[in-house]
Amino acid sequence: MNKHRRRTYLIKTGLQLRYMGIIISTMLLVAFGVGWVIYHTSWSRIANTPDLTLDKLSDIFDTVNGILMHWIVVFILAIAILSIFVSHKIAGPVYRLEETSKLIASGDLTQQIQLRQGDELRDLQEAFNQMSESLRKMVGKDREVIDKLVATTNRLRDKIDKKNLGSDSIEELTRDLHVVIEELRLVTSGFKIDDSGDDAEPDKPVAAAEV
Amino acid sequence: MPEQLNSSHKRGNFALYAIVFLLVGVIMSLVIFFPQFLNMQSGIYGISCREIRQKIQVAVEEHDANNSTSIVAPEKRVDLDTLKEKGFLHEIKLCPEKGEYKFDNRGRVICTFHKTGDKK
Repeated sequence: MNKHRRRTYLIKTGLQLRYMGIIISTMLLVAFGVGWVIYHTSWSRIANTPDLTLDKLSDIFDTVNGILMHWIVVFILAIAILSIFVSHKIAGPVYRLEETSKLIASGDLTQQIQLRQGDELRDLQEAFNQMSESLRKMVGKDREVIDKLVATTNRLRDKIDKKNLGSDSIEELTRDLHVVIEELRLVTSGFKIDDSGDDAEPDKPVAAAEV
Repeated sequence: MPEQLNSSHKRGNFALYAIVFLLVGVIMSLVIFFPQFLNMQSGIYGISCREIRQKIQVAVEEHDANNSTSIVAPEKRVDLDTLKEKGFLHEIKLCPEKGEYKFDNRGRVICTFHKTGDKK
């Protein structure tokens, strides 16, 4: 796990500001709602109680508390339902990302993420689909090179079988194999598989002895 | 070992933040808001009880002024039903804290919960 401390807290400004807005507006809505319930119930009770005397104060207090508790339950339920919808905008894409990643890890590179309208994490979807597309292209190229390698090997076998293996033929086959290996090296050189930095370098020529 | 570490941190700190947030809310409610609420409730109930007691006291005095026999019975319950039946009390209201209205040994109306009688 990466343990370095975060220094920039507004990384995805748009997304973060949107969620700040949702949290602040929800808080304001609840504060306004509770405030309105308290003032409306208490003052309307006071204003609408005929021949109001102080002995009725406890009745008004109890009634206001009862109404407030009722409304707090309503607010909690409303916010719980709202939060399910809001969190679903993030949880849905995250779930799809997880499932698609598992499928890609198992070898199905045809997978792409399609998010629904209103879902968050669109940038992540695009980046993920680009990665999937790029992996597909690399593996496709890899297969082309393997096909070429198979064809060259077949030709070699054919020549051995026909005992037609002169020095020109050997030279030609060596050249073909060299070309195929160069192509294969170019394809795999795009992958970085460790942090040492000494992965295959595409520009470095392959020695004939290696072939 | 790294696998275990990974799975234990899989859900990040969000659950921890949520629990801390809830705990702070609960502790603040218990330590600050709830005692304040109880204090306010007790104050309001006390005001209402005092007012009811005063109304009963006035009703008792009016009753005694208009009848030959006094309704005052020291250390006994105030007969609110009689006061209402005879029209000296508009309605029967009880102490919000479930105290009973009784006469003290000087004939003043007191509440068994709030204790104090009104000083004349």
